Amino acid sequence: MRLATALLFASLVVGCANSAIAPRAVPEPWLAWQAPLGREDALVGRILDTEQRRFVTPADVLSRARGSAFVLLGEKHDNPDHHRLQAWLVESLAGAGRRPAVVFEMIPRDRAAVLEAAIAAHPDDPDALAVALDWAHGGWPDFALYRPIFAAALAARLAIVPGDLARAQLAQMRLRSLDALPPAERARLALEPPPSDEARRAFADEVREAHCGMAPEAMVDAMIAVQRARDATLADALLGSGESDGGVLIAGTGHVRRDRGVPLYLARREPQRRVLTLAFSEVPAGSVESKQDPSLRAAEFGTEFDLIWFTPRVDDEDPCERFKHELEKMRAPKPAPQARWRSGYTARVAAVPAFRLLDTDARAHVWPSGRARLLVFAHAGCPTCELTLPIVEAAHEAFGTVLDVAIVSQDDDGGRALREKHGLRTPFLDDSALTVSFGAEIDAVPTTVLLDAGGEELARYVGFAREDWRALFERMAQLAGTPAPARDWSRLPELRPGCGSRTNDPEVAARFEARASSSPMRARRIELGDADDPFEFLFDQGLTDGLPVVPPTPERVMRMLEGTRRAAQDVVAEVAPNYAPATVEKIAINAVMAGCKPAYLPVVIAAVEAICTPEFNLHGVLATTFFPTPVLIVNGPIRARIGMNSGINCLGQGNRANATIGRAVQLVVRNLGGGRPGEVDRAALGQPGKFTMCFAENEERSDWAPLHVERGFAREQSTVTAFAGGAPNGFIDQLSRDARGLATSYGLVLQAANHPKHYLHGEIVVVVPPEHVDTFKRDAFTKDQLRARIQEVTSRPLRELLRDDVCAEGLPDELLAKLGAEARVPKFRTPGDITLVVAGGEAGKFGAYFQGWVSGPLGSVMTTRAIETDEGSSG
Amino acid sequence: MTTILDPTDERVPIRRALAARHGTVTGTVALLDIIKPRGDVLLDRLEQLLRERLPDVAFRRYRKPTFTKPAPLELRRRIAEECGFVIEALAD
Repeated sequence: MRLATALLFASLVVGCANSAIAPRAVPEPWLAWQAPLGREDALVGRILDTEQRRFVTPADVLSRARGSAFVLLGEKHDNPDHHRLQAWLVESLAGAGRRPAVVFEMIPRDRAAVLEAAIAAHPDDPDALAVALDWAHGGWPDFALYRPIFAAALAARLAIVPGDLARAQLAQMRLRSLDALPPAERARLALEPPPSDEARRAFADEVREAHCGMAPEAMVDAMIAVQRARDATLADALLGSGESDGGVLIAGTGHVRRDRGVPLYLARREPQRRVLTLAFSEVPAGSVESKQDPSLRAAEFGTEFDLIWFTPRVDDEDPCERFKHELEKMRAPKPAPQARWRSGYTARVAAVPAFRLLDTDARAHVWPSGRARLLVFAHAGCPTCELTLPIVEAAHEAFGTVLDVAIVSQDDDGGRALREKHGLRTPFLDDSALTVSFGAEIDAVPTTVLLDAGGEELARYVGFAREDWRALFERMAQLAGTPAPARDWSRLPELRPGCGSRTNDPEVAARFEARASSSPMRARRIELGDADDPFEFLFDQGLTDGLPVVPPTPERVMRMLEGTRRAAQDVVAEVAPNYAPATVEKIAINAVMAGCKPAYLPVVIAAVEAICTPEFNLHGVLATTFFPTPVLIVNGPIRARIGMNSGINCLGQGNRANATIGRAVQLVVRNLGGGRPGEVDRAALGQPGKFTMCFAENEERSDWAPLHVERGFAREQSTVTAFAGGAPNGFIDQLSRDARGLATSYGLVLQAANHPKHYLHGEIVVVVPPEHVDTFKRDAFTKDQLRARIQEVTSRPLRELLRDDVCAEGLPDELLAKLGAEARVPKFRTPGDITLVVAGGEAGKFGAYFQGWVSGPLGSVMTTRAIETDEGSSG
Repeated sequence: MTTILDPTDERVPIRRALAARHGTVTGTVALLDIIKPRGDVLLDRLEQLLRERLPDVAFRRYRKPTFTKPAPLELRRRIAEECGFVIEALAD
């Protein structure tokens, strides 16, 4: 979601302006500025060479452009003078014998075929290109502004090249950031290495400034990623344009910065080719120095561009005010589905997918069919759909011989009732299964889509707008080569809001997203018979821990996957004992079965990572006949965000997060790793923690550093720590009133862990309850003091701990020679083996410990992993 | 109809045929101690009994570095190269 919003922001700052200008580039635009404001400023028309700190002439600019392989022209999109200057340069370069390709940021790379066909058909008509590219709905300022550049390029027969990321790629990047690009492609585009910390900070500041300080901090990195991918793609278009004589780039100013824009990627890939960057800059508003000598003001500008050409400005509107206004509109609560209105909505990502649908007469309609097509998605009960139907019928009558016109019905009856009610002849295609509606990302009805014979979407309108339909009739007439029929458009209402698409029903949406071919899910689908009870089926297949599990339907798994930013097919770890690859998707499936909410998934993923490290040694933990199982301790801000229990009864039942996170990890071990009791799981007795054992530390309840901070993480970092522990053993001290006495009790209790003569124990986890915390705090007892006292209290002469006839358990005789009979041996190998965690209810002077197993490099070592969340790894 | 997604790793285990049985023990037998307590006691006694019954057979002793983890590949390779049979004392 973060990227999606980022892209919206990006398109918002593009802005929009309408300004008609001369149809051809004028020879010298600076003789007749078109932007109205600031013309009196002495800087207007001056061109600053930022390195020489002096002003140069247009002839100098042309001379330098002629000597450069690539000329990057940075514009403010809505300023007509910027485009006229760009056109002048393109025309002048061609006039001087250069043959550069002209690369446009405004054209996505997936429109290359459409563009090529349009140029072939209309080699001298820039307006035909605008129609073919559907410029009016691309989110850019009026085509009239850009027309002179296209006209100049066409007149000189220069190649016109799309420069922006393909729309499908952008859609992927919304979801997966730069990970959407395969590593080989990232390398080819020279996206590695990423920016240095310093460059990243500067980049981030620029992003924040560009968004008027309103970009959510968590989105900044994603925005940088998209910006970098765009810059690298623009550079790629310049390099790969097929023109040996270099290229001219038409793009926003930010893209042509020398330090981090397109020039960076050109330099990485072809450092020997010369690049000239020229930014067109509006003179600032309200400039008190406007009459001063421009030379004195040259120092105000940095060296991000080789040249800066100053022009008048379009308006004095504060771009931040406009941005805030747009943002407020975006953030306003969405109207109820029945009142949705988004005229001119064109943020298309998915085109209409190929389909074969039956109409109400059971005739098959196939797309693509080699013919242009008008599709209107609709359902009954939507007044705006009913208003639209007669117009669709008129389109069918007027253009039906050359253009396939159809209603795509979302109704269960395939539109039969609606068609009869209005007595229509237009075919109604049965999309009651919603697959086409879903694939075409229909958000509201009616949605009207015009497609050309090649499959390109030419227009898409949502709701009803009279002017949209009037324009559509003209477009269809153009396509059909017939005049548009006369209609009295004035009898129709100007605007009517659309209604919610049936695909927006939450359950339906998830189901179809899961089914769509773009679904990230790859797991085998198991179809259960109608007579099969899914709960019983899952028991029968041995896929549960003995309690019922939630059936992992694709819809539920899809929803679960929304809990993480990681790609579904990322392999998180290999799970013992079968060392099966655990993808995010497989973990999500098991998390669904365990009953997790999507928000818990990052914790489950981090826990799986932790238990699958060589140090944790899950294989041994499973295979032993002893008691251990992963005991999971969660720290950091995520505890509160997902409602984990660190208080009363936190080691017990009743909290969904505690219960299901631990259970999900156990199901991953069972179902993916193959760790099943009686097979590789050889536990003699086992213990209830093997269903689930996960709790949170009550970090706020003590002054002690919490577990993750002791283990080297920042306090605000969320982590999960895995410990191979037994079941919790409770102990009592209700009478100690001072810290030392209480610590003595801890020592006496812990001496018996595993066995009173089982010494040189490795790691152990001791849970300290709040009432004990208070007693320790009263005497300012530190964790280290408590650990030291435990070691002191438990120390015994070696002779008491040896194996003997009274008790065969104990330390081996070999130690006698090494240490001597009177050597005092502490219970734990080192004080650091004693892990102290604060948790539990406010009342009750009862602690607990989780006994360890063989610990250290030959057994299992406690392992902590950071939890990645939407707030970044700092979550 | 309900559709569910497979929560397992979806891999089909490889089936391996048992080695051929010849009815006699010849060559070298590996005695593998996983170093659990008293595993050595079991293997000592076993070796003694087997040597009496199989005077022409050689016995070779091996130890795992830890009983908590699978035998390292190198150890398994060595046993396979040097011996025709292996007896492992789990001692649990």
